[in-house]
Amino acid sequence: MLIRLFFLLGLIGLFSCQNQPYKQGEIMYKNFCSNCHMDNGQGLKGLYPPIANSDYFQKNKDNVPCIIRHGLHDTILVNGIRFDTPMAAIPQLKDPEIANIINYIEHTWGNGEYITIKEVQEALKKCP
Amino acid sequence: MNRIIAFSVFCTLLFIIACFTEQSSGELPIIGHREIVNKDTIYHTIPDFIMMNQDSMIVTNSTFENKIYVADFFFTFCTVICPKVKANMLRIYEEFEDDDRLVLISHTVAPKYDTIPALKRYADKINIDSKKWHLVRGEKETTYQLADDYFIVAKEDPTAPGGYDHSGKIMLIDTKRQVRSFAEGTEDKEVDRLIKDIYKLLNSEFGKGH
Repeated sequence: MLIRLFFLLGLIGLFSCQNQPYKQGEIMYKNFCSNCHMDNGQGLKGLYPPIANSDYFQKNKDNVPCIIRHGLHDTILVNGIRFDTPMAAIPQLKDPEIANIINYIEHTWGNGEYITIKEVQEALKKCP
Repeated sequence: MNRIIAFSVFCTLLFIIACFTEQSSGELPIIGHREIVNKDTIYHTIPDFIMMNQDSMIVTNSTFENKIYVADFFFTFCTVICPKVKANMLRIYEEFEDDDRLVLISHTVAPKYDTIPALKRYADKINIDSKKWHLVRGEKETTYQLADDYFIVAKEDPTAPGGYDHSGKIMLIDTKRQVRSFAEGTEDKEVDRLIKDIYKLLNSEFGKGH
């Protein structure tokens, strides 16, 4: 009986974890990204671009780790709107943390193309 | 039977009390230090100021004559709390876009960098009308002194991100330059309440049925 209860509790625990598997990514997103890109990933009008349903994000996936680490100072086109507010570099984020943030974004708003720490490191080597 | 009558009387009484408390909470408090001079109460008011907005127009207290307004402090290159406060200011802007009895003002705490063209670019990016929402620049010391009068912290701080430290409060001011309500601009729920307070203040200042 007791074993069954433990099994059931474990199963509940497992499912509640699956709800948001990128807990660290979520916390890091809230601390480092959501000020400008907002909790819902929608950005702020013409000031800060959206990350959720963003064609730029999907098209520039290989470059996203570089943007997080080194910032972005170009004018970019996101869903047809021009953005030129510079993004500050976040050098204090470690490679696994960058991977977790990207995976949180993918899991929450993307099409679920997850990235590994190794892929993040490979991408960071090729930063422009 | 008596019990039922007693109970319904009790309920009616409760209802009436609830009604009255609701009405008395309809008036917003006047915030700040007050003095009593010759039996008259003198409330804290926002002093005279002269600022320039994103369209190089002079903004003074008379810009807000017969209007109520909300005020906050920010700087355009701030990435800590400002964007969330601005998102909430935008909510207020959109909620009252067609009601010219309410205007908005945002003071830059970094006049050295936030020039008029910089404020103009910022205003264009969030697509706001300068007649409804003034992004203003003034002398640094005047701005910081004014922030004090709004009960807002604003100062230069080399250790703060971006070099400036300021609180993200949004203050609500009535037609007599008195502070009537405020909200933490980063907290959506507080701003929901502030929007309700704006409706209350509009009613008490301009009367219902407007």
